[in-house]
Amino acid sequence: MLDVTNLTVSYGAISAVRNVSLTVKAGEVVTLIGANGAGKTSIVKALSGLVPKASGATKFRDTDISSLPAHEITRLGLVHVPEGRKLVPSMSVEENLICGAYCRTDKQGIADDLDAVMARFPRLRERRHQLAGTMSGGERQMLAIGRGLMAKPELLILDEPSLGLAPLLVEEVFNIIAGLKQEGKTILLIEQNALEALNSSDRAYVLRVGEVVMSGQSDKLAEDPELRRAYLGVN
Amino acid sequence: MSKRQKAEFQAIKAFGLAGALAVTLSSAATSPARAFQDEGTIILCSIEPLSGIGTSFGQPNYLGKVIAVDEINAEGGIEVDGKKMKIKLISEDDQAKPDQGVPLFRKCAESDNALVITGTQYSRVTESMWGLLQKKLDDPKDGGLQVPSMSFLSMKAGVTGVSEWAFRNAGDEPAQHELAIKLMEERYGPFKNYSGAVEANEGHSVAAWKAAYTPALDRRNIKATEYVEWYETDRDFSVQIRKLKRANTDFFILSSHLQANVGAMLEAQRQGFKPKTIISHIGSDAAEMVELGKQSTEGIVFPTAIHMAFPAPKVKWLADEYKKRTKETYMPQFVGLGYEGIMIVKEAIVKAGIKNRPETLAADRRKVRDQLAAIRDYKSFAGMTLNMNANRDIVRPVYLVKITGGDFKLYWTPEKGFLF
Amino acid sequence: MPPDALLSPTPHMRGVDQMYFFALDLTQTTIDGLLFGSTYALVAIGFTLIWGLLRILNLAHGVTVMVGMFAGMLSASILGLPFYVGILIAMSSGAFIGFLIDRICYRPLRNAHELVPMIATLGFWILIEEVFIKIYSHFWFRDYVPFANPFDGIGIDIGEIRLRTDYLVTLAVAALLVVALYFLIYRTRLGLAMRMIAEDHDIGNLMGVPVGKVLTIAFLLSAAYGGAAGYLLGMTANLAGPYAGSQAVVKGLFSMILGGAGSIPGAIVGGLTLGVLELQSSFLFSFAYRDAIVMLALFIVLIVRPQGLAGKRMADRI
Repeated sequence: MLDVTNLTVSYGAISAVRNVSLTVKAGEVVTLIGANGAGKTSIVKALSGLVPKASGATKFRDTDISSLPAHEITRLGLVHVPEGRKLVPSMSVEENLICGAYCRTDKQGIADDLDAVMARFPRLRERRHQLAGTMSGGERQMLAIGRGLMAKPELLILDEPSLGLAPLLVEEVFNIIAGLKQEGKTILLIEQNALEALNSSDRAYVLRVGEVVMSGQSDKLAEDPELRRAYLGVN
Repeated sequence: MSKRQKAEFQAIKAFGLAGALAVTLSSAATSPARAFQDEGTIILCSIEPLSGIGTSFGQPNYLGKVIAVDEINAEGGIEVDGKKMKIKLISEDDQAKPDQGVPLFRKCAESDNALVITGTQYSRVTESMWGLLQKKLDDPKDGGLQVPSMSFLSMKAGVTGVSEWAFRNAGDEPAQHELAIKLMEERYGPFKNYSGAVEANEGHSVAAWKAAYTPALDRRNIKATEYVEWYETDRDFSVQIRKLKRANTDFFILSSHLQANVGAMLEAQRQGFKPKTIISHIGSDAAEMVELGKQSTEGIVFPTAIHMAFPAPKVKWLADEYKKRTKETYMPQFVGLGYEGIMIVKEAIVKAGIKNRPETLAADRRKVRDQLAAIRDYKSFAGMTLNMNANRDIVRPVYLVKITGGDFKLYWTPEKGFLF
Repeated sequence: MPPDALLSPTPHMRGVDQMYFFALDLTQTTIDGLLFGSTYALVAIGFTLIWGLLRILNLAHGVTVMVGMFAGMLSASILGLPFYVGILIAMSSGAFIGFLIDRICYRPLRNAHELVPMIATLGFWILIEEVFIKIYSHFWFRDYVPFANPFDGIGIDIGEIRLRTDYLVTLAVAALLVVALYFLIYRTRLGLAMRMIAEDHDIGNLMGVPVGKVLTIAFLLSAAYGGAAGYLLGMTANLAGPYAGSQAVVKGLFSMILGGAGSIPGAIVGGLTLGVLELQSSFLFSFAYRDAIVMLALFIVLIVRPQGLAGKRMADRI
């Protein structure tokens, strides 16, 4: 579904990402792992159109999205749930979810999806009229993912969903991801938490200082001694 | 260059271009500077507000000068050193701003090499411009400019005291208003409550209150019942008018210019504030008072130096010329003062015996200045006789105008008294 | 300086009369201030829209007010068109300027440092004002031109308090425009898009909002409101003058800061408060110190309540 070839992203003179290539097939959960500053977020921001690419080709479902503006990329079904969630704190839970469906015109479909999201996240239903700014970290993450789902994504990009959450909530988030995987959703997962990420995904790419240094089946990579030493803290 | 740097560069370019365009446009409306004095012409400069606030005073004054210059040039010019030389009148727009007027004054003196600089209207600008002049004649320590300059309009009392090179043809404001108040009292008095409204951020109006109106009231042992202020750019006068009304004002002194007067009088009309008498100064001498103010400005009385109803035939001729050029049916005194002013300068130049060559410029300027200081019994085109006093102010008779029936009617003359 | 320095009492009246008139005038001044302040509120709303969505001060906003005033003057005085037509013309002319501002000052420069578009709006303001004054002086021999006020001279009297009809109309129009704006922002999809963008442009981008287009609409809207304010300002003063733009910028900015930058209620509260403050400081204290008193009030408000009178504290980003 997603084909990235030789992607380079630069901020001024600094190239954050150099010649990265990756693919995501329909129904897969692919994860990008790596330390802070390895360039993971820059890659997805470039994919979703938030930052410009310096060079490289990106194809999403047979459409070249290399030079498309962000709002059009979303409309093609490439939905990016951003790092830090970026909710609108002054809007209610329900309004934030409606925002996710902004580019859709099918009223009934939107209503149905709203119910589905509420069903998936009962806590959101409880608080549907509460302002997003007053919710806890875990609830906000659910809201962000729910909002992403409201866009009827073909490919859902989750950028650091477990960041800043307590361990119990981290577990909850990855349960949600597992649930989505079971439903056959295609996901590109960006994570610092390498262990959980590898457990939840089919394939993985390891990034270091803007370049892909390792890639392959997640379960195989999880057994790689070098990786275990570098990212899983195992001796 | 990164995208961001490119955009910043673009912005600086755009801003610079905008600024350059603005500057060019401001100077395009005025004539370009001439570098050196042409041996065949006499160079006079004219600085006034030709746009923005003050247009209503600057434009008529300037046109009066233009009409005079055109008339003189049509007859061949001024007699200088045996031959006739035409006048080149360089016009500049100071927009009633001192920071614009001052560099223009310097430009006229130093790069245009004007023989005489005429202008301006707004006293705050005139004072600033004249601040560039040498204060005392023949003072070797004073490096100020030595160019005779004459204003045909700046009314602030004592403004010529700034320099011995500065002259004014406008009238003695304290005397004017003393006379106006006296006549109104004789005719419509006695009055119970005298109140004043002053345009607080305009130098001339404030000076008029301090130097003309307040002393006049003091002489009569009267204290103003109410005193209000506003700014020339104000749009709301409700508080001020209400205060005047509450004070049962029957003698109202309006020391303010047309910009605020119209708004204030309209508000007075709305609130039903109708004092028995309203006296104002020359700031009310503008067609807008009746065009915008309509009924509300009826009855306002102010002093004038020259009125289009004067019997002298040249006055009617001037009014017609003015109307031809502007389609205005009312000719405010500033037109006549501008015309007369140029004629006065012309006579001074003729009597000065100048050579009008680049090397004689400094000497010529001094000669003309001395002639201006020595004006005695000059017969004006408008009929009266003028004299320059020791303060370099022209002494002239006062007349009164009253806004009646939507018109500026000549109300009182020294010869005939009240005309109606 | 005035005969009586700071406070200007009316010593010539009897004590009881004095108190009565004082109370009466205080009320009248407050009402006038509120009614007149609604124009300031309209101008402030224009600033707020752009500030809220773009975090830039649109210094060219005053141009929309001036253009609205003159378009209204042409419509009312020269073409003799009725009031509601004039307002629409003024708003459209304003919107046109807003379009220009978007295309010239914002769009080409949006990738630059945030101050750059603001500087561009400053240049736009200076340039257009200078050009306008030159053109204006060419056509009109005057400092001001008349602006027909069909509501002049009439009013509603409640006891001795007078409510000027033209001021009431001003308040009505402003209120109508504010209600319409609220409807737009909170009940339409476009409004939802604007609220997203106001929080973070990236949210808009990620939700599929064509951010550039929505911002252009915001500029048009802000400018249309400026044009309406220009019309109302001209009508109530019966005059149109080329310096209206500069005055509007100052009053509008003050109102916005006083009420709380970035919020529409703040703009409204700020505008009304400024209107009352100006008139009351003239009435209670001295005209000469009016501006100083207003500045002092602004200063005090910002110290005691830095978010403005009606502003909210900066929420944490989530």
